[in-house]
Amino acid sequence: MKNLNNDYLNKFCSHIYIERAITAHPRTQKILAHFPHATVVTIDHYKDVFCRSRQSYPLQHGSQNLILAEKKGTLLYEGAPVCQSFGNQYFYYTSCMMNCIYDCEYCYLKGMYPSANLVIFVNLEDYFHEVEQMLKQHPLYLCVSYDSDLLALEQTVGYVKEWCDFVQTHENLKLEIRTKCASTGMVGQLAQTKDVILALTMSPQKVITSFEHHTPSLDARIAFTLKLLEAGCAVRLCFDPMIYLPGWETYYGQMIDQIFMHIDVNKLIDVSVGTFRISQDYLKKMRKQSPDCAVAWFPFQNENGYYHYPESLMEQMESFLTNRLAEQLPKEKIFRWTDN
Amino acid sequence: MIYLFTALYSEASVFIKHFQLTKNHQISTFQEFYNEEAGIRLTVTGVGEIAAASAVSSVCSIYQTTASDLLVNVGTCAGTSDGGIFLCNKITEISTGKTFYPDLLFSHDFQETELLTGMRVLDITLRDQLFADHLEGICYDMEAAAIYQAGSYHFGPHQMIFLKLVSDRGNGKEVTREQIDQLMNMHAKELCGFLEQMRQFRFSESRTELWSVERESLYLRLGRDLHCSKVMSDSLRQHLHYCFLVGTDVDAVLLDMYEKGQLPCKDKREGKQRFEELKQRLFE
Repeated sequence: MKNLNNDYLNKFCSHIYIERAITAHPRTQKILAHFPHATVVTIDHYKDVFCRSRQSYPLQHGSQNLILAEKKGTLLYEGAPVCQSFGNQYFYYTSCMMNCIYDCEYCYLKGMYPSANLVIFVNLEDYFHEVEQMLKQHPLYLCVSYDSDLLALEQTVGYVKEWCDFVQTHENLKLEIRTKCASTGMVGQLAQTKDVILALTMSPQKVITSFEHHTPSLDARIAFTLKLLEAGCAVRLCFDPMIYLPGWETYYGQMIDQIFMHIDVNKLIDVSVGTFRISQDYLKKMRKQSPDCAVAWFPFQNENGYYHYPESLMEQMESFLTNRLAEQLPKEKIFRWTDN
Repeated sequence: MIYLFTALYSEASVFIKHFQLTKNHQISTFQEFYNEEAGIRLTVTGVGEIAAASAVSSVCSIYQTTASDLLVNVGTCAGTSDGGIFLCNKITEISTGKTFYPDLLFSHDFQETELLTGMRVLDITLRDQLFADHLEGICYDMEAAAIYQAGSYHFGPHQMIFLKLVSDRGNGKEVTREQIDQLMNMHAKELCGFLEQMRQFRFSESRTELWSVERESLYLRLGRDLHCSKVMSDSLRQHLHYCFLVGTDVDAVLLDMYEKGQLPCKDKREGKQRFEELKQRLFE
C-alpha cells in the first residue's frame, strides 16, 4: 500500500535556511547550486530554526531541510566517554555538520538534537585553524564524522576531500571518518594515507533492514571496503554499536562469515567492537519521540547516567564477536569499548 | 482535529459552508463553528494580536489539543505581490522583532512568503518603511505572529500552518467585506482542498494497540503474582513493553511458568527470583 503520509511530505531539502552573514560565502553558493529548486529562507542564526521547541524529529526526518550556518565558539571537543579512543592520547572530535541523511533508529543524534534538519557549517577554515593551534601543543586524533555522515553527503558538500587535503599537509594529525556510506565511485577521491582512517560501520543485514533505514546493504559495505583496501586506504571496521535482537548470535555470526569470505581482514588497520550504549538524557528523548522504536525501548541497565544492555548480555555479545574476529585477527587489532 | 483560526467572519464563511460547520452556542467569547465528524473546529478571533492570541489560548485550553492536531490560520493580508494564496515560511512580529519559522513539511501548490505582523492597520507611510527592504515580496497581517506564539504552548512548529491571501497593497484604502468574500470564494476550492488533505495526515503512529486492556490486566496480574515492589513493577512493564514491540510470545512463556507452578509466587523473595528467571526466558 502506498504510504499516504509520504505523499504529503516535501522532498529532501525542499527548503534551505541560510544565515544572513554567510549568504555570499563560496561554500554556500556551491551547496545551493545542487538544489536549484529549493526555496531559500534567510535567517539570523541557525539556532532560530534548529532549536525551536516541540519539534518532531521523526516527521522532520521524512522531509529533511538544510540549514547553512557559521559555527562560532568551540570547534573541537574532547572525545566522549562512550566513544573509543583506539589508544590515542589526544582524542578529539568535531562537528562541521550536524545530523545525518540516514535514519538509524538507534542513533544518538535523535536524542541529542532538537531537530532532524541538516546543518552544514561553511566556515571550514576556522576548524582548520583551530586544529593547527592544537597541533602546536600536541599530536591529534580527530574524528570528523561523528554527528553526521560526511561521506554520505560528499557529492554535495565535499568536506571529506577538504579534510583529506588538510591532513596531507599537516604532520601529527590523524583523522577518522566514520561512515555507513558505500559509494564505490568515490574511492578515487579519498586519501590513500594511514593518517586518514575510513571507519565503516558494519551490521548484519537483519539489523540494517530492521533499524538502519536508507543505508547501504551489508553486501554494498563489504564491496566498498574491498575497493578502499585495493586503493590503499586505511580502513577500520566498526562493529559498533552491536544491536540486540532475538537470534542476534546467528545474525552476527553470518555477518562475520560473510566478511571473512570476502575481505582479507589482516589488511584492515583495526576493528572495533561495542554494544549499544547511550546517555540517559538522549534515550529519554528518543523514547518520547519514537514510542514504537524497539531498540530504544529495550530494558537497559543504567550505570552512572549511561544506559547499556544488562552486563551478562553485553559480555555475551561482545565476547562472541571479539572471539569470532580473533579467529583471523591478532588481538591487538581488536578494540573493545569496555577495554578503554 | 484541525483548529482553524480566522480574524473575520467573512474569512471563515467559505469553510463553514464547505465543511458544514455548526455554530457552538455554548461559547460566547469567540464565535466558534465545528463539525466533529469532519474533524474541524473554526474560531473567529477578531482583529489584532491580542484578540488572536486570546482566542488560540482559550480554544487550546478548552479542548486540550494533542500531538495529532493541527493549527491553521487563514486570512487576508496586505502584500507586495499580486493575488493568490501564500504559505508563510517566516513570520516576524514588528513590535518585538522576533521571528518565527513554522515547519514546511507538507507539499503544496501555494507560493511562499515572509510575513510581518503588526499592531495597526497598514498605511502608506508604514508600508513604504516596512516593504522597502523586501524586493522579493512580503505580506503584512495583524494576527499570525501572535497565533504562532500562543499556539506554540500547545503545538510544535510542524503542527502550525499559516495561509494568507493578499487583499490589498496596504495603501490605506478600506477593504470591504464584499471584497473579502469575493477573494475567499475565489480560492475556496484550493483552501478547502488543502485542509481535506491535511485531515488525512497522521502526525503520529498510534501505539494504543500495544497496551490493550488484556495486556494491562496481564501486567497487573503478573505484578501481583510476582509480589512486585514499585521498582520491580516498573521494570516488569519495561520488559513487557519491549517484548510486545518485538513480538516475543510472552503468553507462551507465562503459561509454561504457571503450568510448572513457578507462578504465582508465595512471597517477595520468591517473586524476585522468578522475575529474574522470567527476564532470562523472555530474552532467550
